[in-house]
Amino acid sequence: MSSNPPAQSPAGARPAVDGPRPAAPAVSPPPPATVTCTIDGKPYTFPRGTLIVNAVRQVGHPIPYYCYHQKLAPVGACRVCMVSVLGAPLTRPGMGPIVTTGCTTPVFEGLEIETMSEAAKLARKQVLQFLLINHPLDCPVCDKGGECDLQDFTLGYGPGVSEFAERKILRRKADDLGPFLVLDQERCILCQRCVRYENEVTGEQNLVLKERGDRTVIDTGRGEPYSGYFSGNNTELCPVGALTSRTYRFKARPWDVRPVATVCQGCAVGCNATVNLRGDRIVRLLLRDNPQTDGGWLCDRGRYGFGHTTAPARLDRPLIKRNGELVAASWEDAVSAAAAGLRQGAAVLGGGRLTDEEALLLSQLVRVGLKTNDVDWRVGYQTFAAPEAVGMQGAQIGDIDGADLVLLCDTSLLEEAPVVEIRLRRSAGRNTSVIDLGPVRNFRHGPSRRIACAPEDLPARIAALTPDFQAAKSPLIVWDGRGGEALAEAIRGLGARVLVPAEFNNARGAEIAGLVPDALPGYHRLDEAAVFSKAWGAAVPSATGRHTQAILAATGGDVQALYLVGANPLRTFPDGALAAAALDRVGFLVVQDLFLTEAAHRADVVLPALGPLEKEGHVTNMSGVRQAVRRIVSGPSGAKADGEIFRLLAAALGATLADVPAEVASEPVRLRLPAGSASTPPGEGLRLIVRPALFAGGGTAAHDPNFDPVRGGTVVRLHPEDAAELQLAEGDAVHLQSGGTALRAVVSKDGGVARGYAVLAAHVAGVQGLGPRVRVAPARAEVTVG
Amino acid sequence: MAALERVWALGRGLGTTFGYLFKPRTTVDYPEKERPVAERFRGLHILDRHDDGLEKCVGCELCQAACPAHCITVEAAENAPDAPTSPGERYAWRYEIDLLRCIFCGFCEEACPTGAIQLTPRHDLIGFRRSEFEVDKRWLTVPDPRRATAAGPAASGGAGERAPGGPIAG
Amino acid sequence: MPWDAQAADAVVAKYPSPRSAILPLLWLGQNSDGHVTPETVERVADRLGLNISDVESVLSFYTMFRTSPPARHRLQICRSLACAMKGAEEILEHIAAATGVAAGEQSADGGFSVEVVECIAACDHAPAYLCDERMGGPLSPQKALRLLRGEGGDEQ
Repeated sequence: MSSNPPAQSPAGARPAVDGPRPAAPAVSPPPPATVTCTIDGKPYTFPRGTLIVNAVRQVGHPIPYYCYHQKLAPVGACRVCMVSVLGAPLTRPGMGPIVTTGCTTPVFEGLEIETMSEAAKLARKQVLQFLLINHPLDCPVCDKGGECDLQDFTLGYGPGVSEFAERKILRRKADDLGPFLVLDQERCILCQRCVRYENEVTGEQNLVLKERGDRTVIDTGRGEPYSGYFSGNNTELCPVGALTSRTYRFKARPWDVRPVATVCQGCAVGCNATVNLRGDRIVRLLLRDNPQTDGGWLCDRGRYGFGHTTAPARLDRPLIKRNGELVAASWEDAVSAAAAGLRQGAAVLGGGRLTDEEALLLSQLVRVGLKTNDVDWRVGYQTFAAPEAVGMQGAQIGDIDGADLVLLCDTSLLEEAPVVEIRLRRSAGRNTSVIDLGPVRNFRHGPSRRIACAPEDLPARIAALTPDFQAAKSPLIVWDGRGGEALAEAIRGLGARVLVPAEFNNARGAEIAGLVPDALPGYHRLDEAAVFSKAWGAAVPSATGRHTQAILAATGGDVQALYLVGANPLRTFPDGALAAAALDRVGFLVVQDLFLTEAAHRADVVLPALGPLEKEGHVTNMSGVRQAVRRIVSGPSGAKADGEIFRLLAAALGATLADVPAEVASEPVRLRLPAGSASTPPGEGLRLIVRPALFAGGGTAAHDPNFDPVRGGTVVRLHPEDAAELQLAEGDAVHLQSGGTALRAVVSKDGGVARGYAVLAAHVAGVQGLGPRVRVAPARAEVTVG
Repeated sequence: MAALERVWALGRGLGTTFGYLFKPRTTVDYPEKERPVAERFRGLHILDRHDDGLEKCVGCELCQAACPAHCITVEAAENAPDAPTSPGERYAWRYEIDLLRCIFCGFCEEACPTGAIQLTPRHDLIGFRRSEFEVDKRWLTVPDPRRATAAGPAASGGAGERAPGGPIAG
Repeated sequence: MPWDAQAADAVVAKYPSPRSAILPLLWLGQNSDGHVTPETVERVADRLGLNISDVESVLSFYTMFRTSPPARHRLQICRSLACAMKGAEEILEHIAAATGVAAGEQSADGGFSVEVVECIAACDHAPAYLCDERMGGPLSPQKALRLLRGEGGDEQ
């Protein structure tokens, strides 16, 4: 930023970006924080560094622009934001006003701006005419028609007719650009918002300018498909119809959609979004800026994760197992069958995907209906959701902006809380140093200090970072709660705030609601059971319940019935063999889900539930922010909201559920964590680790037709040298063998994986059944041997 | 006297009636014969085609947006590149008009960027059930000239029989 | 010829920021292989810590980089104002009529290619040309055909 005294040329200095930047070197005397300039004859005061394009908009004299965007650095590429300016040093004394771009010129003291001077109007008109030389006038066909800046500004500021009679240059139309985007090169006006977005914001860098002059086009480097997690934001950045969404292609026009505000429930970030409905169908999601959570971006999983609402595979009636087969049944029959089966020795798993209100109802149902504390939402790798619950200080997502040291503890924000990664990348480019710890590289698009280590070495490595944390002013730790007490103790030792991406979108809401074996709602001790009994009007058991592992181990024993609420331990529980054995052993299994999952296939009663966009309530995000969600679509007619199902079950069990939580004043309980493994698994072969992947698994994403193009097969990531040693190339089919089980996978070479590891995506069928070590053999060899 | 006056009045009245026998008729033998309508009369709709047989409608939905009676429903889809329905990328896979709701204002025609929707002079809006007046693309689209010349209008099927001048859906 | 890592290091050392070395490194690749190969692009990106897309973008901007193997003889004819007025277009038409190879094309046997270029700063020799990187002019249709057969190289 300019360190020049105001008398010198601010135009010659680098244009300022709105928003925080590295601090300018100290100058004396410091220039005043505000400047006064005149816009169309009236004086206004702005913070120093405000760009003309923003200044004129703030005072209600907007000018058109394409390349400039609030969230990107100015570039001055489109030349539409022309204004007349007068004032030294832009103009010399005695000289008249000149026309310049508003997006690259910050306001300065004494500047006179005229937005509608004849010269500025003519300049804009001519630039718009130039922009339309090769732009096809296929607005009726174009998906952007109706919300297109080029349409709007040409109508408002452009010429009525074009003087160019020459033929337009023809380029590639309807270009398939990766799984979610369609590129129309003819419509592109080369504002480069997409290119800059990828450089400045995500670091994914797929799109570049190619060729030159009138042949310039936007394309990927070698015409390869766009790969990345944030491609959809391009469709909103693009001021014309060049980059559009495949899922929205020709589905609706902007004027026949109804916008409804909602919160994405794809992960625990809780990004705000606007759903566009045509009739009763969701046609697209748009971002809705909330600095507390999303920071103004959406990931592709959130943006395109609405296909499950109309997926043909959705369950739309209850199923009861008769003679070994699941057959359709009425709700009355299914609920009474489920209640009868759950009456004796039942345990409940899941709840991390409910709303807060539903989680509380389930918590009551477990205590007063099933009369047990055997309930646990933790059916995956995550051991807790709220850092406060395990004696740590919690952080807000926004705290990343001001952190000077961020430790990624075997946790990939990109895969588990994608939009937060964008925030971290922005900070990492300024004054945040990132330490990337763990067997797999977590931070892929920014600078970091990489420390590769085995999972069991994490506590020691973290302890060694103590000096760094003592030196840091506001350090932050990102940990997804994988591991156990040893790791938690090491993290507590650093004394920093902790941000916990959740495995299930409302894990934190479930935990607060008491879907844990050792606490009642609000993290209250089980000794307070009497108080809850009074509030709920029924006896609440006070004996500590069992956590997931113990529940699964006790099936067939005193756990006679299992109730899985939006949970599929076969895909999520790290000990897949135990989960499979448990579901086989258990006497009675009730599964409540959206789809017929692997667990549902084994169930005695399947209860169809409504999905995240189909019910009302609140969800709590990873840093404890509660946000309201609405019922936007109705979902399958035969499915019911989870909360309603809990009430039906409670009634069938002879219990009533209170609508309000009990008010108790007691110290919150600290949740018990498992000890965690401290030894390296013995044996031959590569060490298998399972890590979350954005498009793999998921309660809704695994069945969402919109994600068919990205789901692909099971991918095993190997270090390139390990792959070379095994004589495997990218894309080779292999068998991963471990003990008696094998899994077919496709090799992906990844320099971010430490040597000696094989990395699989979590929440994918078959992955959790493998042991800690695998032998990787080419699939062809396997065929000849077997 | 009075009787004579009555006879005179009768005769005068009958004379007027009788006189019309020799004047040109104002009625026509509808429906065998039709009166010509005004040149800019706005009657029932058609969806036109280009000379090469492709549909003019590109599914832009501007007619739907312009319609004050909300009687038009358009839904678009992507053309198959090797067998397009309309020129360009987009066509209307669904185009429906509720003719009972239509006020024949012609705004759709004015809004149409390709001249696809047109109001014809045809005005025989007849039916026995409400559903007969909810017409779809098959009813609206004019016959494909390529198919018509190849096999004759009678063999064109579907939309062909329902084009203006033909019998209305029933 | 293999990628000369030492030469590449020497080039990179000359510039304050790695990005600046894209063009000289691409030249290095083109001079050793005759054209810029995909491997060269990958090596340049890798050496400079850039994305392959970035290097592809720069490569496509500059018309003097070739991405396919060149013909044995390359005739580049200027078609800017002076040369066009002195008959560059007619020469191109003559070549096309005589050999069947139009501007921007290569002969089927890979013997020669004909290209048009913007001003090569030799307007006094209009119509000017570059034959295998050597400048000459004025060009006549007959001389153009001689050059394509490899019988040129008689001047400047």
